[in-house]
Amino acid sequence: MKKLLHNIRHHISIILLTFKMTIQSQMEYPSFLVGWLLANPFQFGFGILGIFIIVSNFGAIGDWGFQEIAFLYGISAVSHGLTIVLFIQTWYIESSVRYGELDRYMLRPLGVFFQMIPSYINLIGFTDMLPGLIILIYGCIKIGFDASFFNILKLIITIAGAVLIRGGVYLFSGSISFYTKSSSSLIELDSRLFDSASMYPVSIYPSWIQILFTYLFPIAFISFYSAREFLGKTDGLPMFGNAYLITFLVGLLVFFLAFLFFKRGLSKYESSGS
Amino acid sequence: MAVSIEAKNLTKDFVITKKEPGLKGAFKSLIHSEKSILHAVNNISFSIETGQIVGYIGPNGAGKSTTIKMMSGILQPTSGEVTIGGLSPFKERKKVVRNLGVVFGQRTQLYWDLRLGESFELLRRIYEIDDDTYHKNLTVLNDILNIQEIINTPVRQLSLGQRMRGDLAAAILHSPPVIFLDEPTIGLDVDVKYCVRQFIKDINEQYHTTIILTTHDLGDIEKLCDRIIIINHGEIIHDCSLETLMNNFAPDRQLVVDLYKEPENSVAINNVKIIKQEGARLWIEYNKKETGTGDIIESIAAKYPIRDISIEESKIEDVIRKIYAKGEIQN
Repeated sequence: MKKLLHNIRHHISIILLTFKMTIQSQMEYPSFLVGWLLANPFQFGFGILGIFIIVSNFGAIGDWGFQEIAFLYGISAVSHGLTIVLFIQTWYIESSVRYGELDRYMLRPLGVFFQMIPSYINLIGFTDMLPGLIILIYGCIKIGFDASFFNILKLIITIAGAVLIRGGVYLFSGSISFYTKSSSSLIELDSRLFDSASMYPVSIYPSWIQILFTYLFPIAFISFYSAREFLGKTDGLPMFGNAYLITFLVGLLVFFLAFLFFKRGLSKYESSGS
Repeated sequence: MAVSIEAKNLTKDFVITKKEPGLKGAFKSLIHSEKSILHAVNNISFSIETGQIVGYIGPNGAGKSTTIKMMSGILQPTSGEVTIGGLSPFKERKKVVRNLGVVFGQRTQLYWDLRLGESFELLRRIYEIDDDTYHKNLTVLNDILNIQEIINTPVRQLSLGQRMRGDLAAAILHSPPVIFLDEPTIGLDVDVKYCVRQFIKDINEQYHTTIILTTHDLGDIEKLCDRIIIINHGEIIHDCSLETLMNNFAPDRQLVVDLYKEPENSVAINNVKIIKQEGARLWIEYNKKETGTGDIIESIAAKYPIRDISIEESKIEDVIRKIYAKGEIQN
């Protein structure tokens, strides 16, 4: 017990120091940070603008109005930003494997997964999160979101689940590089699928795609089911139980399976080498 | 003396996929590819005592790095085993690497965008080095490697030599009893090379650290190593002291003699093998164990007045090259 506590403290102290050092090292290139601060709001701004134009021309997407979609889009964008903050390293498993950075992790008396993924908090990711947060708050105000403690908690649990789903899928894709030494095109594909399954209501797709995004590749949970529940809508596949809890559980499951896949891949790397 | 590192029948095989050239070959290998097995390290055994400095040498691709990687827990042996302080680095990686310092000359372990001191700070946290040890080690490192001069410079701005000094310091901050150095002097100028060698010597003397060193610079071996292990094609071909190796492979030495006067015809002296004669200069080859240098000089001086002499020992480079070449013929 004492050892466990010591271990947790040790790991947290490393995360904090690494975070501090990450901020310092990113400050070494301030123009880089400013670039992202400009680029990311533009990207999300144009994303939501596109939806606005579609909705104002056609009235609604499915039967979702612009303000409802802004709420859904906000959940998606915030979860995207947080994923970039916490799990961006999953994108670089490929280069770690290829260029032998993994060797360096293995020479330290810490877990490889810990050193690779959670020990690195990405400051740049906050520039992804900020515009998402603005859109989400706009959506909340416009749909008359009842900001009670319980509702906010539900929203946080939803976003946590969404981050776990996104992070888990990226982790899974990144871990493929242990077997094939290449996974970047897959990460690209993930990002596109995330966008198409979480920035618009999934109910606009034919039902087989909805089934695919719900049961096989559960990225519809990132924003759709919870947003639907908050808005009291009933379109799309039926869901039993509280959507925010299911989202969170799906997130845990996806991430856990991805973690096992990572572990398996790592042991394969260890036994085959670079 | 206590055994620090032990390898028993250590073997590492890699599966190599043969690819035929061209587009046709690329498609063909998608469907069916021919696989072959490369014995990168083939059934090697050795045991290294605490406090030894061992030079681990061999031509490129001989299996040096693969061995180092198995010893540091990065690669799993295909068969056989290696232990560091009695523990398997693969099965108990975290425990073993805590007592290990590893430097890859070609790749830095430092954080590119941070000051050198910050990399140290993080390592201190990772290895949970207490304040006393940390400051003591830093002082020692400063004495040998002059760390203070570069501690506030971002790693990316360090020159190769400065970076190597930083890497060496980072590798022993946690006072590991065992150190692996994979080509620590590669690309360094004479000054830094000298500094690195001095560092290795000092650490070994002060802390009785066991050191395995791979290098292509035989000067490193000459200056540092009590023992050399030569590996080629994954197999150990020699494991002895440098002196033994030289005695066995280069028992001959050359004597160069300058005479006062150019002899009128070619010189012949009993029991003296003259291999070359040019003007007033003679080159003589002899086995240093069998023949005394004085005896040869005496025999020559009896017939021709000697102006000057010099003795040339065989070069390690030549010996090692001979050994590598012999390996090629056998395979």
